[in-house]
Amino acid sequence: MRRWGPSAWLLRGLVAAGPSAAMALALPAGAPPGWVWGVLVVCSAWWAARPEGPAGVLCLVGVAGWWAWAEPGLPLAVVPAAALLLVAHVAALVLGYGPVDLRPGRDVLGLWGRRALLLAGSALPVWAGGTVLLDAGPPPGWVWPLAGVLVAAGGLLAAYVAVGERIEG
Amino acid sequence: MTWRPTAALARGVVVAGVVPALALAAARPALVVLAAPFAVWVVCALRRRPREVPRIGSSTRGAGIREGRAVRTSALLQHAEDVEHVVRSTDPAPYVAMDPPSGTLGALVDHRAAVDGVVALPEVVVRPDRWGRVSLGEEQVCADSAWGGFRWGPQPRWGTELRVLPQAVAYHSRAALPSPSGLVGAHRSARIGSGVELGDVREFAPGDRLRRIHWPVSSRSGRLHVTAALAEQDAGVLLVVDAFADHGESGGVDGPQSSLDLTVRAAAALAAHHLRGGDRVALRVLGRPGLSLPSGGGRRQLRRVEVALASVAAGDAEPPGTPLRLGAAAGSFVVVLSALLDDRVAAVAAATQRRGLSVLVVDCLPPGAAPVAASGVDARVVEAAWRLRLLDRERVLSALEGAGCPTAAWRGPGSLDGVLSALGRRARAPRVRT
Repeated sequence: MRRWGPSAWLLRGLVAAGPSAAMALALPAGAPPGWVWGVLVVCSAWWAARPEGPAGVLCLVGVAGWWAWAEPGLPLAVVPAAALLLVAHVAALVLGYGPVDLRPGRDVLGLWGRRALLLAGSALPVWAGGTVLLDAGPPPGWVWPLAGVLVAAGGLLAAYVAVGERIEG
Repeated sequence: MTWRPTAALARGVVVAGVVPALALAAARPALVVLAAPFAVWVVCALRRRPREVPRIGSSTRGAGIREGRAVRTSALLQHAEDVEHVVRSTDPAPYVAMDPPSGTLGALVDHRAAVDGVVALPEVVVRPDRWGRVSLGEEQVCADSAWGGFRWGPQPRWGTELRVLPQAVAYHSRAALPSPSGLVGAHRSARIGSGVELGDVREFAPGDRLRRIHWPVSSRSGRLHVTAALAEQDAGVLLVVDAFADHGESGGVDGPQSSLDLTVRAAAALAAHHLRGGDRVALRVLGRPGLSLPSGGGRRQLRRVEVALASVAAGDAEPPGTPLRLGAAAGSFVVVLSALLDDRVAAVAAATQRRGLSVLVVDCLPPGAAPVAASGVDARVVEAAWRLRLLDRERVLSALEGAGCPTAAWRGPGSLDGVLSALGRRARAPRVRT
C-alpha cells in the first residue's frame, strides 16, 4: 500500500465506495440486511486491492441483484447508481493498466473521466425511454422474450468477438 | 505475444449480458438502465479491437556514462497504431537510482508524434551510483488498446548492461613529476633547454640568442651573460591499480567508499590530470592482467583508461606461482594505488623502486573500513583478524618507507603534492650508483 500514489489511492477509493453507494441509492425501495452490506464491503475492498480479480463481477452483479430484488419500478435514482457502478468499473480498468506502483497521470485520468461521463450519460436516455414506455402501459407479452433473445444474441456475439478468436487460434 | 481481452472487458461483457438477462427474467426495467453504460463501453472497446501486434524496437542507452550522472533510457514500440496506453516497468538493480523510484511509468501514446506506426516508450531516468559494469533490471512492457478492451504484454526485456565510468574527481597538482624524460611537455626538467623557467645565468657563447642576454649581470660583470632556461618535458606515468580485493562498504557516489572505489576513482583522476598535461599514461591492473593498457597519450588514451577502470572487479587472475611484473618502462613514474593489504603489492613496489624508477604508493584504504562478518561467523573473530591485518599493514608501510618508497593517503586534490615535491628533489639530487 505504501507504493500506491495519490491517483491510485483516489481510484481505489472509487472502486471501494462505488458499489456500496450504488446500493445505498436503492434504500428508499428497501434496506438490505446487514450481512448483504458486509459481503458487499468485503467484496469492494477485495476489488479495490485487486482490480483485475473476480471480485469486480461479484460486486457489480450483486448490486444489480439487490436492485432487482428491491425495486420493481424505474426511479430516477437508478441513473446515478448506474454512473457509480460504471465509475468503479472504469477506475478498476485504469488501475489494471500496470503493476501496483503505477501512478496514472493526469492525462489518463482526464481521458477516462471524460469517457466515464459520456458512458454514464447513456443511462439517462435509457431511463427516459423506459419511463415513457412504462407510462404508456404494460408492454405486450411477446416483448420480453424478443428482448431476451436479442440480449442473448448480443452477448454471445460480444463474447465471441472478445475471446472466441483467441480460443480458435 | 498477441493481444488478449482484459479483465475489464470480461467484466463488462458479463455485466452487459447477465444484468439485462436478469432484468428480463425478473421483469425489472431498472437493471436495463444499470447495464446500459456497460453495454456502450463493451461496444466501444470491441469496435477498437487491435489488429497489429506491436514489437519493441531498438533502444538507445548510454554506452559509457559517468557514475552519478542521470541518463534517459528510451525504447521504441513498432506497429503501435492500435496502442492507446503503454506501461514500462523496470526492476530495481543495485547501485541504480531511478526516476520514478518505482521504475514503473505509464503514458498515453501520442499518435501525432508517431512515424510509420513507431512510437517512443516512456523514458525512465536511471542514475548509476557506482562505476563498473551495471546491469539494469529486467523490464516489462505492456500496451492497452483504445477503451481498454485488449492488452498486449507484459512483454519482458532483459536488462541492459551499462558501462559506468568512474566519477571525474577534480584533481590538480602543482608539483612537478620526479623524472620527466620525454621530448616536450609541461614538467620542468632537470636539464637546461628551451623552456621558460630560469635555470641558470652563464657567459655568452657563440650560437646564443641575443634576446637571452641578461643585461644587469652583463653590465655588472663587464662580460656578456645570457639566461638559460630549464627544459620542459613530458613524463611517462604508470598507474598500478590493486584489484586483488575490495575492502569496506561501497555506498555509491555519494555514500561511503570501499577501497576499490577509492582506488579506481583516484586512478581516473590521476590519469585525467596527467593526460591533460600532455604526459603518457599506462595502466596495470593487478589481479586483472587483461585490463592493462600500454603507454599512450591524449584524449583517446584517457577514454581507454576510464573504460578499463570501469571494467575492474575485485579478483585475482594473475598467473599463479609467478612474481608480479609491472612492465614499467625505463624513466617512467610509477604510482601504485593500493589498500596495501596484500604483501605482493608492497613487494613489487619495492622491487620497482630498487630498479631506479620513481615509485609513489598511494594508500587507498578508506578510514574506518571494516569487513562485514558473514552469517554464521563470529563477529569478534572477524574483528580480531581485521586488527591483525591492520597491524601487518602498518609493518608493510614502515618497510616501504624504509626502502625509500614514499607513501601518501589519497585525499583528493593536492593530496600528493608534498610527496611529489620531495620525490622531485630527490630525483634531481646527485646520485652515486654502486
